[in-house]
Amino acid sequence: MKDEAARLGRQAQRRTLRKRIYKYRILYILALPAFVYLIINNYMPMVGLSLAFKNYSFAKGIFASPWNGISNFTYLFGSKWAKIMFRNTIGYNLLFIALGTVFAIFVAIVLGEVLNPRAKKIYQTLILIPHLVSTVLIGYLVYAFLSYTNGFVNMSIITPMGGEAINWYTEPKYWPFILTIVQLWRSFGFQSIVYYATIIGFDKSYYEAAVVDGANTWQQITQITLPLLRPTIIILTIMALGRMFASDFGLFYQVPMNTGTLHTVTTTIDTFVYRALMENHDVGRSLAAGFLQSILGFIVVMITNTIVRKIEPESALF
Amino acid sequence: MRKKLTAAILAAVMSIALIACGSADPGSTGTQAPSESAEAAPAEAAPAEASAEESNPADWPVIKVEILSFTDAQEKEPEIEQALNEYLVSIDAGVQADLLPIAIGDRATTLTLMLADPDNPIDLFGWRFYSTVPDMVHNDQIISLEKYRDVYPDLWDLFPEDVYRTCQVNGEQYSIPGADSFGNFQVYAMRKDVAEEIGVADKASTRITLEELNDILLKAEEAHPELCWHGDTAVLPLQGIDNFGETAWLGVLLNRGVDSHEIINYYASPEFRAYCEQCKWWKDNGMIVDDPLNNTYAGYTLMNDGVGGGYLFEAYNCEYALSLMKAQIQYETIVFQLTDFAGNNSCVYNGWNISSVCRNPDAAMKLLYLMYTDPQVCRYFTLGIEGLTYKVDENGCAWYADGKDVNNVGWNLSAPWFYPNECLSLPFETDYAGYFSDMAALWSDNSLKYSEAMGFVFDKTPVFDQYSACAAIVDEYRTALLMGQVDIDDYLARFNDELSANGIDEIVAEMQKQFDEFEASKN
Amino acid sequence: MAGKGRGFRIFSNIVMILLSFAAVMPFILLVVSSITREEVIARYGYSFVPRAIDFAAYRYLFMSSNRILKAYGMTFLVAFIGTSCNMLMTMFAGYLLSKRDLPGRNFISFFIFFTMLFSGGMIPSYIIWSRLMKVGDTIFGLICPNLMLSAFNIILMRTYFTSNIPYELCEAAEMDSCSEAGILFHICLPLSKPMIATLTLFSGLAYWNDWINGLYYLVRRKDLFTIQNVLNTMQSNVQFLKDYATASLGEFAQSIPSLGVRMAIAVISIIPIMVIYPFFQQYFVRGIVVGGVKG
Repeated sequence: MKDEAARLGRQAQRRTLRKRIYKYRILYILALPAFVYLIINNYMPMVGLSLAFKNYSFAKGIFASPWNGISNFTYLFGSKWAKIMFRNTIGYNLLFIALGTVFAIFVAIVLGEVLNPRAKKIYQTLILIPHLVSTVLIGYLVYAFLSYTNGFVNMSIITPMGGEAINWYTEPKYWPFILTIVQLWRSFGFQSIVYYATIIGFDKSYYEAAVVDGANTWQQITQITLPLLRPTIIILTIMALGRMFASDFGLFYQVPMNTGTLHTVTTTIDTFVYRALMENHDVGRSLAAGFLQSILGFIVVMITNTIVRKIEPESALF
Repeated sequence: MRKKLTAAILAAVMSIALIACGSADPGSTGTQAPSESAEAAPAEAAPAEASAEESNPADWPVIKVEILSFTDAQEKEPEIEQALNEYLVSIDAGVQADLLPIAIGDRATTLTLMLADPDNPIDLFGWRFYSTVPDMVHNDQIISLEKYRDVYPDLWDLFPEDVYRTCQVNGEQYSIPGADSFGNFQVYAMRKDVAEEIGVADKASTRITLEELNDILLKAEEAHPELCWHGDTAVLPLQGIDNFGETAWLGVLLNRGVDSHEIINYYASPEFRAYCEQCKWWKDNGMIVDDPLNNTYAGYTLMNDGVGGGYLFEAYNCEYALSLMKAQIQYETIVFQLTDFAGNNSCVYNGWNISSVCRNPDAAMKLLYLMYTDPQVCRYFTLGIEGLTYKVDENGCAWYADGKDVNNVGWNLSAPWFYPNECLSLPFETDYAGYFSDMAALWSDNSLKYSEAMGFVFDKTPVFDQYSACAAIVDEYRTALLMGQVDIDDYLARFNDELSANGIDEIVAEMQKQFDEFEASKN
Repeated sequence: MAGKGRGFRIFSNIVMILLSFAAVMPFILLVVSSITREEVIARYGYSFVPRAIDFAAYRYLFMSSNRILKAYGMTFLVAFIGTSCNMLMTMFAGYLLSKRDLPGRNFISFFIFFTMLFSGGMIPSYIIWSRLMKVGDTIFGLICPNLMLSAFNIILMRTYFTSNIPYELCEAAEMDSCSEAGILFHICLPLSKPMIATLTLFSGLAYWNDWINGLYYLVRRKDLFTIQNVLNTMQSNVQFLKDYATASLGEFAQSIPSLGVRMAIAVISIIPIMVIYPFFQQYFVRGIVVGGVKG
């Protein structure tokens, strides 16, 4: 009896599954090009991840190169740089995610409160500019501000106010702040766009109802805007956590101008790998680092996603 | 059901990927054993080439050669390629060339990709600024040239024998060294007006000691406190070390190994300390550029910008040094010689090789041979076409063709040193007619003293982990010391502590081991 | 309430003015540097007020204006084609995933997200596109690899569809026997203009700022270079000379465009975006009222 019921249940399930697939058949077909593209562009090259465990021979190609176990990974550990680069990579990323998100939401809300359409347009255009400047040029610009002998900060701010000029590029202690400011500066305009687009897409009737109830602006933000933004915040954060072990090479290499004395605070996994392999062209070792970053990011994402799914299934990534 | 579907999709994806990558991969198609195929290729190609030589030049194999470029395009490339190929037909070379200009900044990426792609391979390239011979051999990027030793014996006879060893791995020639002076001395170049003002112009082009240089610099600083007197201080002949071409100097031989064959940890040596103190003295006397850790400290840039009054560099004779200055610096300069002429460094800076993806190594070798030995072929690369890109004066020196300059000539004439044998070219933009012939004369000069380690190449693969860690530590500390920016006692001690904690002793020991083996193989 | 609202609005304007200023200030420095002579920068440093105005950098660019104009043309063409393809695929994939009862939804989400984490690296990717897809030295080399679809955008699109479009609206449409594709085109897309504008902007900027594809896939056809490729090649040449500042390389410093020229190119590569961007913004400026009537 019980078996019979289960069988019927499964059958019904299968029928509705088939029905659902049939219902969405056009959508599957429409989305097909996207899947094909991901297979070609992303999944097929992943075969190359095997090189992380191989001694890549340019003559033999990916498949015929000999395996060499985990020896491609060892250079990442065991020296004083291991601790430094993992600490820096993770630390900066967490800092950037936290501050970047708060700041971007703040800007998006503030921008939403600007009513004059012309002013709105101007603000939006201007705050996007930093995103358009390449990191090499950002490096020059930072140097223009911080150069010891003729930088803007020393010459036009500190010295006129009677202070002693600071040699920024020899003092590691300033760089966590400098890098954070540079990162926030160049990303806030871009990041806030997503939140802003989401906010203006909200149903206006919520706000109208709140106004009728006598809610002030602050209450509208905390009671309506932030809760509605929650899924977007969670999704963006999970995606950012996936990149937690990667770093923007330009920010950590070009902005501090690869200055040796700053290496303890500017070395991330990516810059270390770049410096170690600059002349070797050792494909296996560079992929090993990438593979490790991906695996660690993957683990963090899976854990976060599982937690999110327990608490708020609607916001989970998958 | 859902799991099954997932599994099915996943399996499909993986198999597509495998099929696709399989067909894309050189190793998995055709011959099963790639090492065999690599060896079989020239054997197959040889008869094909032999018959081609008599037949139509249109059937000759085309060899792709890299051209060093400082911009992203060289407009005259088609004309020069055509002229070169017509010349190759006229001498019945049996090979045609395909010139491929690669911008220097993009070169590392472009070469790496082309070396991984048998469908679009680069055939002939030089390794300067790209990699080292042991690394390329380790990566299987180049092939052994041993079998051509008998075919082109004169190619192994151009330079002193030890020079060829620098491009060998395990006794096999993988690359042919590029022409160079293979020896030099330290030069200090100074603005002529300053030298005359402080009354030292009479010492121009003579050998002076470091103390004399310091006296000169003190006077110069007194007369022109606004100028700095040093660019890069990380110079080798002045320190008298042989670093085997490794920029991190993790193990060196002192004084060309004349007194001792012991490889030492340079940073822990009294010699390094003394040099640091010398640098500190320069710094304390205001001779080092301001903010050196970040400023560009290329001496010629500092001089051209009116910030610097002189700097250290290397040359093989004073006339050569002056001619170099003339080309680079808008001020008139004089030079002082600081060290004796010697082959201080056991490395060479360039070499040319055949890639492992090359489909016709025999033809590539033929073209490489011509680049080393045929002046006509060489000049297409270094200078272009006479009348179109360059003209020759009565001294036999080359200049930009009439109406042409660096911006509109459409070819890179200023990098002869990049090509296999620049000595077959003509001196460019200089009146010094012996620019190349004096250099070539050194190759047969038996009085020239080379480093005892000449020909030794360090393979850092066995200590790669320690090496990368220590090289990064050197990046962190060395510039500050050599620019005199820090307190030596404290900083040097910390520097050495970190080096030993991260395995410098193992590197030096490995280097010594390889060096002993090298010595043994030599005798 | 009204009073407090106005106070916040003034505060908002002040904040945005400050932020805009902070964003623009370095750009002004960039412009000023591009019209200052290089020796002056080397000696006196950077300044917001040019010590000696010199348009040499722009004259230099004008000399090769053909090249620059062509590179602009390529950039526009590539960004236009690429972004169009990108948006079509993003909208369809994002909409598919927004269906809560979609069979295989979690798997497909994972399949898409996974591509954000793992990559096979430069060489395998190059081999696939160059040897298998044969995009080398064609305009497709600029359009196809990497930029034509981004998992990030698909997930943002999905999130927007699920969080900003009321489920009931779609259900009601279904009752009216509207097909699934019909719901997408008639209901969801019109309601998603802000996000579509945003993602179009993202994709367009990704194409605009990209130089990797040109570097990898245009080995011979430098005439197909986009403006960012031209700029990047110059930058990397200069960087190279700086890294290997040896005596024998000194000569070539002459053939390398000066810092001023590089800054000038950066300036002219930014300006078009600042001209185009406001056109996108009509979709941002006005909010959308759900329920069929636009505000």
